[in-house]
Amino acid sequence: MEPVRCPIQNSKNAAMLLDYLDRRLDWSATIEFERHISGCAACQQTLAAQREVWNALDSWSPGPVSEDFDRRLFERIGQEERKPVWTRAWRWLTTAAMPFHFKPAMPLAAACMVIVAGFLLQAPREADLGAELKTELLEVEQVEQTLGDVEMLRDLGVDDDAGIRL
Amino acid sequence: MPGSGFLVLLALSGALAAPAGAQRPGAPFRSPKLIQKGPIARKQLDRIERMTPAERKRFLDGLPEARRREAERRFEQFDRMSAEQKGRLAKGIEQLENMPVDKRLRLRRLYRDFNAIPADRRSVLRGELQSLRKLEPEARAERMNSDEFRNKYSATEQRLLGGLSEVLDPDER
Repeated sequence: MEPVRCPIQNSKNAAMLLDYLDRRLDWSATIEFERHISGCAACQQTLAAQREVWNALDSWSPGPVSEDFDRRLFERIGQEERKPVWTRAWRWLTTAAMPFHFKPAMPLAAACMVIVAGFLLQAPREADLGAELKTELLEVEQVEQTLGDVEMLRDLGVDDDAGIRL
Repeated sequence: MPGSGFLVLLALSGALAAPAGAQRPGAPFRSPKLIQKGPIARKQLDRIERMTPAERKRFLDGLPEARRREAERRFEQFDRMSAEQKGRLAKGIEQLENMPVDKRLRLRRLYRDFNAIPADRRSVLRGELQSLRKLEPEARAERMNSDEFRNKYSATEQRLLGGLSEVLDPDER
């Protein structure tokens, strides 16, 4: 296999860096690429920066709901219910303001739209199918590589408590 | 109530339309979760652990023959492991992924050479490697420079043991 051209300096090879990060390169391409990385500071920096981003994203967790959330929610509901009758009636009229003879047809029309939407969701577009296929292939390769790494570590007896010094 | 007719129709149409993303019979394997960036190997290990027999069969059926046999063998190996062993390997997998690139490259090359050695010698080397990893670096060097060690192992085997024990230097002793 030819020596790998640096993906940072050669934009045509940029996809190789992304494929490596996503573990989509086959075994021999991975070895060749890692050989390049071992001597390329720019690639090493890029990989380190990418890992930092992923680690930061993985360690992020959403903030907890505030303690008085429930109280404020029920307060707001109560406020709505306590509004004057005429305010609530006006809201009902404006949201249901349509000719009387259309009313029976509205539920049927809405149901038809849902059925159409369901068929559209069930039949993904061609572009989505292509993306799905790529995702599936990536997952398959990642699972295979992980199984391979498990076998390597087990073969080498690295299944003790000692771990590996990085 | 006028609204109840609408709700019934909505429920019926929801039942008619299959949920988006559902697995169609005979469809290629699709992992139940979206791919997430980050520590990929650890997530894949968890995914392998959670695979149902049907999902595993779909995964294997999608592979070419040679890869399918290899993956099947490795799945069987994985199934035979105890929970403790899997836990320790999971730690090793994470550490492997976080290893500096040159170290990981060296490990993979050494492992490739290790696999080229006959199976009966590999088991001997595996035992020696585990012993070497338990030693401090100075004691390890002493062991490897000993006459007994040099007489017991070929030059290639000595190189492998030296390289592997250095790369797989334990985090804790």
